[in-house]
Amino acid sequence: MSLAPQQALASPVENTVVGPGDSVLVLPEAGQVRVGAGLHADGGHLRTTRPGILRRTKAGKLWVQGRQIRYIPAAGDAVVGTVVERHSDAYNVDLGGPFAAVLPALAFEGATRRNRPNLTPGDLVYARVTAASRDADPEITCTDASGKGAGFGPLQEGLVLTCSSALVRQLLASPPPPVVAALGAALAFELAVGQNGRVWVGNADSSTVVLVANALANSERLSPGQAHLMVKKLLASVQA
Amino acid sequence: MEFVSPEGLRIDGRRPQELRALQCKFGVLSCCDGSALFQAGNTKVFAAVYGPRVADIRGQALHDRALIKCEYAHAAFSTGAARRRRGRSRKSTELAALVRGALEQTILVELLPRAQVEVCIQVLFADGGVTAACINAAMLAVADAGIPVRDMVAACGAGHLEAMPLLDLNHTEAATGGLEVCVALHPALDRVVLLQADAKASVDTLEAVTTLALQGCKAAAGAMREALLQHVRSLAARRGAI
Amino acid sequence: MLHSKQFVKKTKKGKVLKVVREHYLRDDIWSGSPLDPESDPACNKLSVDAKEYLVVDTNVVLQQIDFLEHAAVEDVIIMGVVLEEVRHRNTSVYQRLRALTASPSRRFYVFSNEHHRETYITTNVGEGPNDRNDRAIRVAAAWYGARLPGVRVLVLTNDADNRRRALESGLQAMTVQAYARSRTDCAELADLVAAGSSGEGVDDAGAAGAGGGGSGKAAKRKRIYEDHRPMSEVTAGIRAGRLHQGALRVNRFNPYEGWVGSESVGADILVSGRAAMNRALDGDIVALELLPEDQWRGPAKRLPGAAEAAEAAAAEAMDVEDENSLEAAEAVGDREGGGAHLAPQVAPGEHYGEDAAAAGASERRPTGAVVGIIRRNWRTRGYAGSLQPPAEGRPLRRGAASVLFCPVERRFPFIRIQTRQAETLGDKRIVVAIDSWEADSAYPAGHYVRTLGPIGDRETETEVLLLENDINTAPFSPAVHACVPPLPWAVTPADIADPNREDLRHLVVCSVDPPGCKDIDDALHARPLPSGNLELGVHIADVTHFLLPGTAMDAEAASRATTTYLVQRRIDMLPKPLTEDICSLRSEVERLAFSVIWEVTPDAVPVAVRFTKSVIRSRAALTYAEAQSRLDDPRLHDEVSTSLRAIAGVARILRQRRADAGALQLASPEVRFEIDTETHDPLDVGMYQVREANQMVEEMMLLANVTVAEHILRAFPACSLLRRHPTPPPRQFEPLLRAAAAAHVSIDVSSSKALAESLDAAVRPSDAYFNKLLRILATRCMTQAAYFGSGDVAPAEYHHYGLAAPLYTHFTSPIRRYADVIVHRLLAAALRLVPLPDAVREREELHELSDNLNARHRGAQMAGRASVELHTLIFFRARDVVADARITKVRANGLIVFVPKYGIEGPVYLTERPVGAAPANGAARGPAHGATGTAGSDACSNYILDEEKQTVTSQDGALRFTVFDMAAVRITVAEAAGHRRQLVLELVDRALLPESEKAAA
Repeated sequence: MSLAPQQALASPVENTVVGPGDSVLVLPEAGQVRVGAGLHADGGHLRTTRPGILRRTKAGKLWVQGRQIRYIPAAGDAVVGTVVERHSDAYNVDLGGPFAAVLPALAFEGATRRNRPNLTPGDLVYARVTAASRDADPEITCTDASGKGAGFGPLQEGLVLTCSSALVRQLLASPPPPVVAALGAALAFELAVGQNGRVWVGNADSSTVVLVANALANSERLSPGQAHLMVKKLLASVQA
Repeated sequence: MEFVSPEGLRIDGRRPQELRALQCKFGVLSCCDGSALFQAGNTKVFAAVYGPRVADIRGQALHDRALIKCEYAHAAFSTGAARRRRGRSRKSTELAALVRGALEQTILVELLPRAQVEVCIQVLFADGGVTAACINAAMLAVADAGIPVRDMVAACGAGHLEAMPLLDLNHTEAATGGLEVCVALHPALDRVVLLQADAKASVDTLEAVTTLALQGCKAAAGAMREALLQHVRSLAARRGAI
Repeated sequence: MLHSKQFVKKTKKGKVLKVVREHYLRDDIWSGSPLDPESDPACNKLSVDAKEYLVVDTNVVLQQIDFLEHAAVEDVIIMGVVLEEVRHRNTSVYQRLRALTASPSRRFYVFSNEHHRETYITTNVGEGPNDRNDRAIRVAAAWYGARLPGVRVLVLTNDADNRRRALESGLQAMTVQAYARSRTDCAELADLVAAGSSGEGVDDAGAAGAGGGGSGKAAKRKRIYEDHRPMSEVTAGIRAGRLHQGALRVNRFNPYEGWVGSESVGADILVSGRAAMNRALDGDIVALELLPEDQWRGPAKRLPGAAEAAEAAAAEAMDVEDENSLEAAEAVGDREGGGAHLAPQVAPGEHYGEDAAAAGASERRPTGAVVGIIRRNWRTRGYAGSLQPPAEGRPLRRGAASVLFCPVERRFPFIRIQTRQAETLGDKRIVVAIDSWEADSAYPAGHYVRTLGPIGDRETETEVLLLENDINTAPFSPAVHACVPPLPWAVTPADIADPNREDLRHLVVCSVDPPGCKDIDDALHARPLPSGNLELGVHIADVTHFLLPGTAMDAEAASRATTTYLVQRRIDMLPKPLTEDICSLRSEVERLAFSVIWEVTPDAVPVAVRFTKSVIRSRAALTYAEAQSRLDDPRLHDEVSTSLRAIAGVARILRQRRADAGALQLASPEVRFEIDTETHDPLDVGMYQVREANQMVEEMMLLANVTVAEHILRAFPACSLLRRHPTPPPRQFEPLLRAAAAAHVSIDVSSSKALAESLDAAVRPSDAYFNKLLRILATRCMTQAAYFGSGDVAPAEYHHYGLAAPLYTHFTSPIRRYADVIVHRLLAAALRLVPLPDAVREREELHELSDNLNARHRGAQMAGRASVELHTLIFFRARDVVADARITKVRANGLIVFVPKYGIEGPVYLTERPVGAAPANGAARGPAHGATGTAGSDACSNYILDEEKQTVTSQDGALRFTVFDMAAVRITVAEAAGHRRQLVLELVDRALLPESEKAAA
């Protein structure tokens, strides 16, 4: 079911496909409406700004789930980035978004002026977005709120896979998706999922890494049953 | 040459107020952020969108809004005679400017300051209504890339031949040199974004043709929206999300 | 549903283009029959109770259009594919077909089979386009059959293969001939069916009859004419320069002689003789090969004058075989030559008995022979004429007979037709269309179209001349009448209050026109101003206020382009209520006008001019005679007379000024008829009298036209409609110079002023008419004036030679000329009252418009002259008159004389016309030299021609005739073959002339 363009409703219909510019809701005179990505208020109507599926979060926020390649940084996201430049006290890290993010040189666990990680352009980091305003470059850090590593930091070796935000959301869902479970059952590897559409696979030998990367890449459009089959086939082909 | 027969049929069998068959395809090119192929009759236009991303020329970036760049090219085989490509010509600059103007009013540029959205348009076959097809293709590519837009923009051309307004002229009809108007419209907001014409005409004729073109825009917008929603639906279905 | 059509085509520049087109198939194309429940009633045209629905193929439409136009042929389905093909192959047939499909009474329905989902077919592999189109027709006919089971669907085609396949697939099919024969309710249909050319599938049913006999005999028939070369060879030859291309102009007085104007040779090429003309007709675009120089000759110096009777008898006597002898046919005569029709008024540039191009006829000119025809320009509306009467003693065959038709216009050859009505048609004027001219047939083949009426009857002959000059006499359609405001009409207060319209009702306006004139388009006024100057005004009927662009009336007026004036009838360009009442500036009523108002000094020098739309009230609508008497009577002091006198004063000065600038006063022998009100027969005929009142009006109209021309050209330098008269090239004056030299008068043709002065000086005191005669000869040397668009011609060429004016246009008669309507619109646009009319914006459109105006103007002039000729003939029919005559030309065997009283010019034979000199049979079967040869030798032996002195003397010296001599002729009407009545002039002794008849100056 989809909305006709001019149909403005008193209450939006969720989980329907919407096109850009569709009016989802007539904004009431008073009251609050919580909106997320993909919606914007215009002249008394709440309109979509991109095609996708209209969803409401558990918290009651309306947003449009769409397919987006470019990552728009949001504070609190965990991202996998590539260092592009090194300055005296910060690194520029490419997140795949509109702008490169700034990673202060000391934003690592246990880093001091004397002892800090030496990253060169091309290195991978797993970081957390601390500030993302549209007017300024986003800032990231490799520590969590309390200053501990918590898994953030430079990533050695491995392979980065670019994928859509939808896949990322799947991978981050809990419980883990069937693909990950199936792979995990058979192989040993490490996975870092960045909400900017980058997934790092590492800490295993190259064939495992490649296999896992392929499996993840293929799994976006598969149903659970198909995913299992695919993994099985891949494993079989490797072992053969 | 008779363009509208007394039986009310044009040379390709359409009636004066009928659009050509429209076709839209998405995600045609994988290396860019959004791409689409738009076909109206035999006119085929392909558009690819890169962005939003850092402006490649730092000096050009605008501090409070996104920079929209548009490039237009037509293939050497796009018209009946094989034509040597001459690079940039006035016509291609003008067309690129038209598309950029339409997109600037459509994309929510305030949400992407200092960023750049680059749209590359390639005409694969030109059989009339090229400007409108370029705008439509660019719109579809932008929607495919998920770049935030105010509304869809749909464009359509119309002309005036044998004292009758005709919708969506093909190349043979446009080549007579009569009035041809290209209109782009935001269908939900009901706002005209672009009106371009290139001939001498009286005011009444212009009004009649423009009204017809606006109706065509609405019809085209409906078709494009349907295609877009179908695409989203199929993607979602494959992901199991719906 | 969408298909794609691809084809490759070549542009004019030689580039190769691949064209890809969409082809949509639709579900909303209906069958057009009320018997079909799904068909949309709004477009149903076929009838419910028709016996059959006919489906025709392209060749049937192209060749049998006359048959289709007959009222008895109805309920015809024209397939879209047939319509397209006809459009590409023959535009005039396409127009006629469209007229049939548009008319609601003739039930012709266009079925767009190419866009109908069920009847669209794709070309099979190896199928040619013709086969595919035939199959499309069959598929569509089958669809009709399936959809309308109750009606018989009949496919008409002359193609045997198509018929066979149609019958195989269960359709009914017939040839057109068979269908026409089956229509027993209408016998004349069979006559309208054109004979198929032998290339097409010949009618099987007819194979047994004459047609089959013909085709059997065709193999035996000798080739009379050379085959035309194939098109590829012709185009190659033209490009290489071996062949030359141009339009053939056949001599009006000698049908076997013509000229082709060629740019590649520079001069006009002469084509002499039937073999050399090789089946080309007047107006065709031909490809010529030049003959070797030793075969070049000059045009005939003799009056063509062989025996018509001989040829007619011989033609009838000839069987199919004998017709093949070209020599025999030619020997039988350059059929009726100049002795026949008289041309009282030849067009400027056309000299009696020769073409302008033949000036300087004595030398040899480049001569050529036709080797190919690039474009045929046969008239689809047909040729008027009558059947050749049978020879005595030979009864007409019963049933279908093959007879010869002779057109009235002698530029065209006889036409052979098949008809069953030969008896009834014998004394009627009929219309025949040409179908083809094969190389083995002496005459072209054609078919009967319709009957006009009995020969000699005034109405019939009028119809003939209207057809020949392509004058549209159809009544105005209801759409046109709807554009006319209802009567009674009067000027409304809104019109008077219009700020763009001046109220000039207080001016003393009057009009001067011929007696009985109801469509008054111009009026004049003059009044003194306080400054001592004179205010002069010309007010023209404001036709464009009612005739708006884009209306049905405007389209009709643009197509007619002018009112045609026949002696007894007037064919209007606009509906009568407009011409005679609403626009006409009648006296004592308020009318709308477009005014030109000058302020002139007492010396008639204009110091100011303004143009305005106005409301006027004419005080008097005078005839020329009345105006003249008011001018002459000094006792009259009323406002109208004083006004007239002031205008006449100015006109006199202007006329003198024009003469000083070199305007020519030419003379044309216009005659005026007095018509009996009851029988409408002419009672008396006489020369048109020109009075000062005529000249006054003429002068004012000229002034208005020139002033308007200047104004519109200044406003719209690139798209004004003007009129020019090119200076005649020197060689066009040669006949005048020769005649003048022989009369010992010198004429200087270096400029119009020089010519005017020498004409004024050329006076013979003893002969008062001499000067007039010389002026008539000078008129013949002029070129034609023509309309043109100012963007088409260099400004140096805008001038009007005859009026000695640098600029001229037509403004003063919008009621009867469409050019004036355009000029009114241009002037209104220059005054910013209306936008510039669409018709003049594009140069090509303006060019086409002026071409049409010129062609229609010429046609109307020729029709008018032909009507005068007709009435002259009727006048002399019962009379036997002796009148004064003057010799204008001399020839080896005769003279051309001019009769001033009646304005007639014609030949007088000095030798005995060789009627019966060659016996009918002998000439038909005899060897090459025939009547022409003997006649020639006879003539030459009797009289000697001296070209320089323009004198012809008899061998014994007794008789001597010089140009400009006085003579007397007896005028009678003789009836010759083909029911052509002609005026015959015979020289008689001058003494027989009563004194009163001797022409004064």
